[in-house]
Amino acid sequence: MKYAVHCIFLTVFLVIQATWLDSISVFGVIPNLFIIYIAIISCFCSKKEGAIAGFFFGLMLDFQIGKVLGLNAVLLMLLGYVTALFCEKVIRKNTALIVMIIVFIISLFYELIYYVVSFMGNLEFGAVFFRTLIPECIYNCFVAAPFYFIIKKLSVKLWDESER
Amino acid sequence: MRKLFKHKAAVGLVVLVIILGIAVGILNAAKSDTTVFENAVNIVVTPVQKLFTSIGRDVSGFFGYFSNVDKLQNEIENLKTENAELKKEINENESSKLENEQLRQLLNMKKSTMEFELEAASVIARNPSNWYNTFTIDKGAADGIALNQPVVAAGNSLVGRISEVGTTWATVAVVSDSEHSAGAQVVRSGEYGICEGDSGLAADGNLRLSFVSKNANIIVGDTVITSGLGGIYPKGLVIGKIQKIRPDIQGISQYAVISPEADIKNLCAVFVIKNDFER
Repeated sequence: MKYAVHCIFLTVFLVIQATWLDSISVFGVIPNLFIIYIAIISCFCSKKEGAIAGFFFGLMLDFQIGKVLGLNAVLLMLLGYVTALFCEKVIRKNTALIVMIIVFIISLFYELIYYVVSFMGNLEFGAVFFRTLIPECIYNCFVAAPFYFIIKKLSVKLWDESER
Repeated sequence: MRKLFKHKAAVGLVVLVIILGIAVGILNAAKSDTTVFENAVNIVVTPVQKLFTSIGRDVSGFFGYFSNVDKLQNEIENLKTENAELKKEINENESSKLENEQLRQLLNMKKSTMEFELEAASVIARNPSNWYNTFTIDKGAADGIALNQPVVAAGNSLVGRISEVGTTWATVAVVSDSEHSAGAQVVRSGEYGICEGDSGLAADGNLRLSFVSKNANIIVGDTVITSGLGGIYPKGLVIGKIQKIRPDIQGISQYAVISPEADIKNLCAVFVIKNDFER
């Protein structure tokens, strides 16, 4: 059941991330639904599931971006695992605010590593940081709020507390 | 050591990430073209994206119609005036063309303007990340699209070049993309430079005209076209207009901020130039 839910979300994201999201861009920046989803579900699921979901969502994102193949897969796998581990050890109860903060931090890590691996030396860091990186992290953080409530509703049916 | 074994899942993940990281490095070092998996995924995804893009455009067009009635009426009036002026210009140009043709025949010269073989394509998706200014079109290798072919919008305004080709789809790297550059020339003064994407200007959709000497004759409002140097673009495609001129960090040269002629953000259709320019 939960893998079917992941597949549905993945299909929807694959289609709308590159099409409809452009019409809600703010200062030329669009939110990254893939990061938001992996960060949120990792707050509910096990480390293993967070890593596996991160890997497949990242791989599909790689196929769409078409540049460094496998980079998103490895990054999202790692971030899915670390988020699940952090939520398991440190945070006992998820709230919308905590999840929004997690999404902000995960987005920041993801974008920083992506910048270092893909563009280090080619793009001016200051411009990238203030014009792309921070606006995207803030945008992701706000988009995460409605997602959190949807996934929280689903989580009762999908994830057993003992699974973690 | 005992502690290490206690966290064997975490250690396993670190090892896996290192192995995968190396694999990614090796795979991408050898990657020169679109991979089979990438092509397969995009063959499946692009028709659905095409459908969603067209639904999105219909919906925004429907609501846009009601909110923009006044604006559209003004635009019609402006276009009527512009149309009349253009008709006048066409008549004047016709006589110049005839005169030009006769002079060419006299000099036995070859036509300098090349006839382009164009392939019309629809824009179906934008790059899902904020790092790259690229978009996907609905034509691919099956339609004769090849790597590095120039892409233009109406009026021969430069949009970018083909950066990736699949069977039924292709990716276009836009002029403002940070990995894009083209030989450029200022129409009024004939000054040469390189037009390239700039991370600081890309958010506004602008690009940069670099390697312009400090004493170069350029002013705000100058039109910049492709110079034909570099082997990808033919000469004469309109890149855009100079918006600002700034000194370079070292102070020995200057650069200009160019706003592209093509309305790249709102493009629905483009043309791929299929001619070979000695690539």
